[in-house]
Amino acid sequence: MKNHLRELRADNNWSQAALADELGVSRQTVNAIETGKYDPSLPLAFKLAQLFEKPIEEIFDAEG
Amino acid sequence: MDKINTLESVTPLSGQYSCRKDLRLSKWVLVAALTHLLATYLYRSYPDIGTSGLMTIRLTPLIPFGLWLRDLARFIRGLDELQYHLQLKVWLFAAMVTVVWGTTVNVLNEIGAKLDPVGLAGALCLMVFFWGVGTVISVRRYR
Repeated sequence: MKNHLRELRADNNWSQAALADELGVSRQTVNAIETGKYDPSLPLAFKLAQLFEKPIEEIFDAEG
Repeated sequence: MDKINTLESVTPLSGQYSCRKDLRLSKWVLVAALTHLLATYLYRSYPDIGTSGLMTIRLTPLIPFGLWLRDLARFIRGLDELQYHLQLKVWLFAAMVTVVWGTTVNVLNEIGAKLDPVGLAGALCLMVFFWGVGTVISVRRYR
């Protein structure tokens, strides 16, 4: 599943570690999501959506 | 927000290593190892102690080992979701390889090979070794 996490993070000038701290996960998890190696759980996807104030479908592309 | 557990906090030379966290996680396995050594010494020194005495001596190391498993399960539950999934896979991998290893040794011994059978301590060492292999692979993949 493709996502726009890297772009959204860059727009907010957050490092992977800073975003990981906000989400309560490890930096590796943020990196793995950005590189498409790992699809987050639904609760984590909702946390991302809340943090970036965007609907989930604007962050994750199910067709990708 | 609750502080999450990380593998790096218990991995020496990772840059985030915490001796306190590592000791908290592994204290019971150290006690189990010491108890096993003591039990082996007593077992060999006093072979005439009787069946119930021998059973007590041989099974005592399982108590600290069980406590270590409890602490390990709690630590894994406290990992973040990616590391939690990876650790479940890695422990499953380690357990399966240990079972295959032990079975192979038994089959080879049945057909005449004179290999050392994999005992409880051997199986534990094998599992920890393959856990290490699996963890290194997963850490490299999800750097």
